[in-house]
Amino acid sequence: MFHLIRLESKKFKLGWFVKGTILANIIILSILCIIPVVEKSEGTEMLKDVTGVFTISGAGVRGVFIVFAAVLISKMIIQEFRNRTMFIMFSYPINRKKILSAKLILIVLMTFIAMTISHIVVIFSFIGLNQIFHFTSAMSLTSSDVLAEIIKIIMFSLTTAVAALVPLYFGMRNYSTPATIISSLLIVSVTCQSMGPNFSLAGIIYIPLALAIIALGIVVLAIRKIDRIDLN
Amino acid sequence: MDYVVQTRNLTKTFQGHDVVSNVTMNIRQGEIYGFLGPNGAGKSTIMKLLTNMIKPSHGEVTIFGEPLKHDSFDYLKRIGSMIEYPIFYEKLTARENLELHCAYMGYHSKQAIRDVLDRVGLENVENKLPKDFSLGMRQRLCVARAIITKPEFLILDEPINGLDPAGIKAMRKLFKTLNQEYGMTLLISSHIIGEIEQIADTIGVIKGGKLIEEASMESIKARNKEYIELVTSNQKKAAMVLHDKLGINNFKVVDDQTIRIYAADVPQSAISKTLILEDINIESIEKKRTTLEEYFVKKVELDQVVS
Repeated sequence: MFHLIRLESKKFKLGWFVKGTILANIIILSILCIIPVVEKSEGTEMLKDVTGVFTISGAGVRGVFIVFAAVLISKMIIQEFRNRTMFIMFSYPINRKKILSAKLILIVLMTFIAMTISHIVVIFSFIGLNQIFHFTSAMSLTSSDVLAEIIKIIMFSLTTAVAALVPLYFGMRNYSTPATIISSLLIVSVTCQSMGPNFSLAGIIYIPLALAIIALGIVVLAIRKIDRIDLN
Repeated sequence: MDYVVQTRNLTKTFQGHDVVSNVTMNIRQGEIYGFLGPNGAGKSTIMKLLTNMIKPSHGEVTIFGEPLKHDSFDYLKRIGSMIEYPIFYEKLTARENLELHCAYMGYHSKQAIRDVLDRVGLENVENKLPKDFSLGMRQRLCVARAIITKPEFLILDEPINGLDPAGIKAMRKLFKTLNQEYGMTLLISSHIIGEIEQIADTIGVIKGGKLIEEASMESIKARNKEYIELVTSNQKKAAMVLHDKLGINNFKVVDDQTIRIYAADVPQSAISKTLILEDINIESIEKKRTTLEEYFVKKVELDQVVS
C-alpha cells in the first residue's frame, strides 16, 4: 500500500500543493492581522484572546484545506476517470479497491498534515507578530495551554480532513470537477462559519465529526462499487 | 490445444442495446488473431471485456484457463494492452510514463525503456511530453508501453492508426517478431483487411456485435479457389459450348459479357481452343483468384482502405 501511495504522489507531482499551502498561510495570517485593526475601528473585538484567535484561524485554515482536498480528489480521482487514465490504472495487476484506497489515504494524509501544520504556524505567527505590532491585547500562553491547543488542532484537523472526502460522492456521480469543488464549499460553509464572537459553527467539533462519519460511509460505498464500474 | 482466451456467448448490453452479442471466440496460444470489422462493430468492447474494463451482461470469458470474475486482476500482469486510442499521463514525459507503467506492473529493468523505444522506432523523445507527439508517435509509444514488460498476451486495438506506410511495415515486422521470438499471443484489431491478411493466423470477423466468422487464414485461402474469367460478346453461345462441348457445369454468368469458370481440371488452353473453333469471339480470358478483400467485403461492408 505504501508503494502505491508513493507512486500516486509521484504521478501527480504535488509541488503545487506545498506552494499553495505556503501561500494560503500567508494570506490567512494577513487577514488575521487585519481583522483586529478593522474591529477596533468598529468597536467589536473578537480576537481579544487565544480562543478567539484559535477559532477564527481554525475556520480559515480548515476552510482552505477542505477546498484543497476537493482539488486533490478532482485531480487524483475524478480527472483520472474523465481523462480516461483510469484505463491505464485498471489495466494493472492491482486490486482496484487498493488503487482507490491509496488515493484516498494520500488525500486525507496530505490534507491533515497541511491543516495541522498551517494552523499551528498561523496561530503562533500571529501571537508572535502581535507581541511586536500589538494588533490586539497582549496574549500569553502557558506550556499546558500550548499542549491543549495542539491536541485540539489535531482533533479538528483529523475529523475535518476525513469530512473533506464528502465531495467524493458528488464528484463521482458524473465525474464532475465543478460538482466536487462546489460541494466542498458547502462543507466549508457548515464547518467553518463564524457568526460573531459568541457563536461559531467552527468551534463545534461534532459538525466535522458527523460529516467525517458520512464521508467514511461514502468511501466504503465507493470502494465496494469500484470493482463493478464499467470504464467505457 | 491450449487457448489463451475462450469466450462463451459473451454479451454486453448498453441501455437495452446489444453492443456485443453472443460472441464465442477462441484464441489459441502463440497465434496472431486478427479481429476484423468495421468501426463500431464491437471490437474494442470485446477487448475491454477481456481486460475487465467492462463487465459482461451475459456469457463468460476464460482467460489463461481461468474463468474471469468481476474482480479478477492478477491475470493482467500477463497482458499488455492498447485499447481505443493512446492514453497517457500528459504531464509526465515519455520516459516517466513508461517508468510508471513498469513500477505498477512490478517490472524492473533499467535497460527496458531504451530498448523498447528503439524497437518501436521512437528516438530522442524520452524527455518529451506525449501531448507534443503526433498521433503516429503516440501510437508507437502506446505499443511500447504495451510490450515493455514482455507480456504473454498482447491486445492491440487498431495499432497502425496514424502510422505512415514505413511505420506500418515496421510495426508489422515487430508484431511478427514478438510472436515468433517471444511466443507472444496477439489479438490485433483492424478495419483494414490487407493489414490483417498479412499477419493473422486466425481471423475473427465481427459485425454489429456478432462474430460472423472465425477461421484460420489457411482455410479461408483454400476456400477462395482460382477461376477462369472469360469475357466474350457472345456470352449465351459460350455458355452453351462450355456445357455441351467441354462438359463444364461449374461456371457462373456474371454479366452480359463475363463468365467465371470454376473447373480447375479443364486447362485454360483447351477452353480457348474450343471456343475459337466454335467461332466465339474472345475479348479476354485469364486466371483469377477471389481476393480476401472481395471475400470479406461480401461478409461485411468494410472500409476498403488499402495500406
